[in-house]
Amino acid sequence: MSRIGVFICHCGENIGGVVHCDQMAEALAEHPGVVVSVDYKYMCSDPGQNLIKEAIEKHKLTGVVVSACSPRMHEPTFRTACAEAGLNPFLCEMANIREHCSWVHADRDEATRKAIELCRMMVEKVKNNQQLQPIHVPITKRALVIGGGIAGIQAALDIANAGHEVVLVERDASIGGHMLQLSETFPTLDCSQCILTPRMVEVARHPKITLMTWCEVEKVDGYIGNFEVTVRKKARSVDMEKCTGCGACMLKCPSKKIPSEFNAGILIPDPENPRKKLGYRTAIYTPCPQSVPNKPVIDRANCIKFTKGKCGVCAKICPTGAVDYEQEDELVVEQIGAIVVATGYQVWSVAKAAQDYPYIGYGEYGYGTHPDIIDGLQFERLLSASGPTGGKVMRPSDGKEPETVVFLSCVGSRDNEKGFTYCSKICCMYLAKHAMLYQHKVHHGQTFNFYMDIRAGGKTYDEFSRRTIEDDGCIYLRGRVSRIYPRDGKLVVQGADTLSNAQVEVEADLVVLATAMIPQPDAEELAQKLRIPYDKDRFLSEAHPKLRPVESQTAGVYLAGTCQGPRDIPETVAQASGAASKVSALFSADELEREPMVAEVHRAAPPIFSICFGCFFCERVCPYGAIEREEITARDGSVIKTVAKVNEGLCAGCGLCAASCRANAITLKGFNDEQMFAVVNAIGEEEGF
Amino acid sequence: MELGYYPGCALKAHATSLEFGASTEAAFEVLGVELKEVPDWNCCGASAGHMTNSALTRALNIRNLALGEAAGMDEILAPCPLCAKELAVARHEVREDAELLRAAEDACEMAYKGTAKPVSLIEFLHRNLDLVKGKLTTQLAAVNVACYYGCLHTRPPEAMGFDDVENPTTMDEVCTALGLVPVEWSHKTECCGAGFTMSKASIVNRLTGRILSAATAAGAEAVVVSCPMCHANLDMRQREAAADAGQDIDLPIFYLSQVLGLALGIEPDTLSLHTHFVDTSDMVGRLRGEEEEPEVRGQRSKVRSQ
Repeated sequence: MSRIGVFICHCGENIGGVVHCDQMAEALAEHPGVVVSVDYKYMCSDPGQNLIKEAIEKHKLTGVVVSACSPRMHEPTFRTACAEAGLNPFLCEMANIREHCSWVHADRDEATRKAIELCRMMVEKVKNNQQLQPIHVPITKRALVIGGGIAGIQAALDIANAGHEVVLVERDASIGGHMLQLSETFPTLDCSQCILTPRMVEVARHPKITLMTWCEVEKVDGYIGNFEVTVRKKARSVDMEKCTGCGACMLKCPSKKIPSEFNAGILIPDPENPRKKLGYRTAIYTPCPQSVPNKPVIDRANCIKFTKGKCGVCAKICPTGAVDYEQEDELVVEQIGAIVVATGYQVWSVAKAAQDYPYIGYGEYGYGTHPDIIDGLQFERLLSASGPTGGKVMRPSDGKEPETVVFLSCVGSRDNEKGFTYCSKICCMYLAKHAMLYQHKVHHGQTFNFYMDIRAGGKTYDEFSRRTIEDDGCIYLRGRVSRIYPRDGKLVVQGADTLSNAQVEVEADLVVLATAMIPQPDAEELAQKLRIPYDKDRFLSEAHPKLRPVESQTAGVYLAGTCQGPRDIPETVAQASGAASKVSALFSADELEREPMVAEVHRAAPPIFSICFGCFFCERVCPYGAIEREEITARDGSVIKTVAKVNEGLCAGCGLCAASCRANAITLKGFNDEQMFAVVNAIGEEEGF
Repeated sequence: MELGYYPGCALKAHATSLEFGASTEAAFEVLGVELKEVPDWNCCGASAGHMTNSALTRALNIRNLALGEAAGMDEILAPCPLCAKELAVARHEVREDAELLRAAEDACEMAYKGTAKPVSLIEFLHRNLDLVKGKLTTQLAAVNVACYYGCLHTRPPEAMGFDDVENPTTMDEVCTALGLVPVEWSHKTECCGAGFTMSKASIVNRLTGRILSAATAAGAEAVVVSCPMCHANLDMRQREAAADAGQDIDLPIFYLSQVLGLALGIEPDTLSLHTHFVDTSDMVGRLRGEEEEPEVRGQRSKVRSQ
């Protein structure tokens, strides 16, 4: 016979202000099987929890229903309290009368009636609950970090310094990411490369870090603590063991006219030879002189040896014989316990030709049609000492020093019509930095900045942007630009100044568009491989926007940096360290405890038997790949039949397999048919439905 | 091929842009597309209607669409962009809001299912570019032209749903198919002053002057338009506009349907090319490959300015 205790929480005014909790307690006390029914102002408080513990002992309860907030909020609290009083924690359930009742209803009597019903349903469920034991899963203490930008570097170093093995996978030839391309960083104007390269070197030298550049994640199997990750080692065409990084091959490579990705594709006329341009790379290349590892790869799409079959200069010149044209892609499988995703962002190209999004774009800004209209990342390369001009500001059309530079904020950001709804967050600050750095280099120059709002929230950020306006004389114009077009060797920027309510026209030598920060082109594909959700803009979703910002919805997969949303370097580093500490906490135990609400395929003994007939429809519907196959054998070892088996580590307890099983052989523990029917039957019992 | 046809007031009744109507009808005949006029069509309510009473304008346009629908038309060609916009906006609004549909249906005492939809001249030609190419009898001379779309061709984007709103390129693509060389220029969608031509011509002169001088600066020798209002302002007001801009401008203004007609081998008079304010005869000759000397125009301008 069941002995159920019902504990009704007022949650201050949250529930008590709408639901008559005292009436509710009285009604539930009459419900069959309920031996104690009380209400209390804050059930989650220590006295509230003690109320439950004492009742369990005093009334020898066989089940507990806490009628309060969402189980997402306090289920662990109450289950722990029950366990402390000696009751199996899975005999405790919550009836959500806050989110599902008091918060959404105004009529007190009706709300009370509904709250009583919700509570009755859970009482009926608990009567059918069984004692369950948590599942223990072993943990492989080895982390995978995907992406070698500042987020990935920070996460890898933090995990490795905590004493755990890390595999860092980067798809480019070098780690460093976008931060390596930046000139100086706001708000302190630290040289970006100077502060980043020591970390890159540390990654390469760290005994706990396996660095895999020119590699991509191909496939992810398994579950938290026990992932099996297949990594594609793309053919580098250079033997990493033999190569010394002398760079002779790059000097002699005849294929010299490939716009460099590291220079964001910007090309500047060579002042010494106007027919030549700066900003190209060769076909065998390292992204930049500070590359880690400083060993080249061959870009096969642009290599004469691979496209035309002739050449082979690099192989001839190489003193160690490291160039290997025969190399092929290789797949390696890594055993991994936790994954940090740090795949970063790209700058939206608003050029019409490069458009692969269903947005209309900014044809009127002329990006892609006029060389002197560039994006923020390209301007970084113009300012950078490692850029094509060595840090001298020159414009792409004729190599002249621009005397008037116009910056445009929010090109694609905060634009429902033509771009993305979100704020890219970094542009206000980097445009202020651009204007400041330009002014430091070109004293007689004049800068203009068309903006919507100046969003400079952050420590010393506002002071920084004020400096650009007050000390460096950048003219900030609040308004949007309608059109940019060439006239007499200048670019006419037509816009509005909404503060003085005037139409303005600026004749510029160079225009910099702060285009939106968007996820990597293949962000969706990776998210699907990892089975983690992403939002409408393809940014990866965190498990909770406030309380679990570095975790994904999938256990064991963590997020760091701009793959999750626009952010600047300090925030990225903080998030990466956060993700790393989550991984370290996971690795601090040898086994992982998981909730036992998983699916179970029917088994009976003796001898072992199952009503599963092996159609494996469950295998097809399972989104987590948790269905395995098991052979039922006779004593002589011959196979009687092959049946489904649930991998408890992988199962997320979604119940799809249970719902779709034709033989009704699969049960979801904690949510079995008896429990669900009891819940449904309890609805409207009073009204006699 | 049959196509519904809503000429509107400008192309028919008042004949303020007789050239647009005549050339469109002539060109479509050669294209083998039979234009079936919407029976008993009424005014689209442009300008006067949509500024004063949106319910009335909506009802007027739903009636036109419903009439077309009842006559079995799926698509209705509305060459005038004001008509096209009013029809498209009304259709967009009633598809979004069932209340508005009911009100409009009650007002015009007709049912509208939403199958009949308007299409502009540019959109139709752009979508049927292969049909057009197949019927061309000649490639026009490679003359630099400025394609001037005006304000309405792509706006409002949620109702029109066609082309880049701020930097449209579809008319350029149609003109390229005819053999013309569209220039990249700045004022494709700038305002011409539209109806102010009646009440405050000085505004029109200033705005039109800017458009014409931008076209000249980009190297255009003629302008192609697809809107009666644009044509009226650029053609009729050209002398005053040029004076306002302080420039000597002599740009023939063609309807898209007129250059299409020339490429289809239709005689200039049939296309009503002789009824423009700015003389088109020299340019028509050049386009048809009858004259080969581009200097002629420049010399004549000089003579005139003296």
